[in-house]
Amino acid sequence: MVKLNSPLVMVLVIAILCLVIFYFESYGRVSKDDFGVKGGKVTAEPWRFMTFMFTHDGWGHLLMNLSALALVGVLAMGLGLSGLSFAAVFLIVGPLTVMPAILLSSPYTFVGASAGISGLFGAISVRMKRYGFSAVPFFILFAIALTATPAVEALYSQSAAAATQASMHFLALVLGAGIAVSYRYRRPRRW
Amino acid sequence: MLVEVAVGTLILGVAGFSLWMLRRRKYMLRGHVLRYRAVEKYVEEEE
Repeated sequence: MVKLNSPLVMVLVIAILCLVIFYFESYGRVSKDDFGVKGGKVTAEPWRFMTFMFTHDGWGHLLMNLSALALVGVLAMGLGLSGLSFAAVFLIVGPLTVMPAILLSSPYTFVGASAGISGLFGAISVRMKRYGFSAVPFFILFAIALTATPAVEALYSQSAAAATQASMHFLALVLGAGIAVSYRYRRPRRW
Repeated sequence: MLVEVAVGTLILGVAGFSLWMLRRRKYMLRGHVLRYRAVEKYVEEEE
């Protein structure tokens, strides 16, 4: 029997939300401008910090994020992460990652679950310590996998969007690892 | 599209490698526990 507090259940919930929004997007009912995070709009509509993570810009973007989400779910399951922690990292890292770009008045509209997923990979790299691994090599590997391609694209085509994508993936990875470290080394409760 | 495919392939490779390392470590730890239990049982029987 599948436990409700399992990462795979959370993966399923997130995937269904992404697919539902994408369905409405593909029929033109909503667009990324309705749900995405954009400077100037978020102050009036703060719920965008939650909806942008489930909105995607095309099939390629959606499929890449869903496959990465499934992979991180399987890894989290193997490491014994609870579904609640999985969802918490995903929901906290996403909005925190876009915050600096919004504060710096970035002209882009941010959509996609990749920020939350990168945060989960960061948390997973710290969680590997549970099985006696060092977190650093896994963190470096995840960082290369998530940032190398957009960074190369940014260098070759001088694309600011690709540079933003690479830096946001890295920031999310650091934030996810930071949350996991602070949880791992938290001060014990004194009752 | 090319960027998405490349990121997806890289992350698939890295996540697969991490999962493989994790499985190997779990298998090794399970072996340690089973051997420890066997030794413990043997010592108890000897006593």
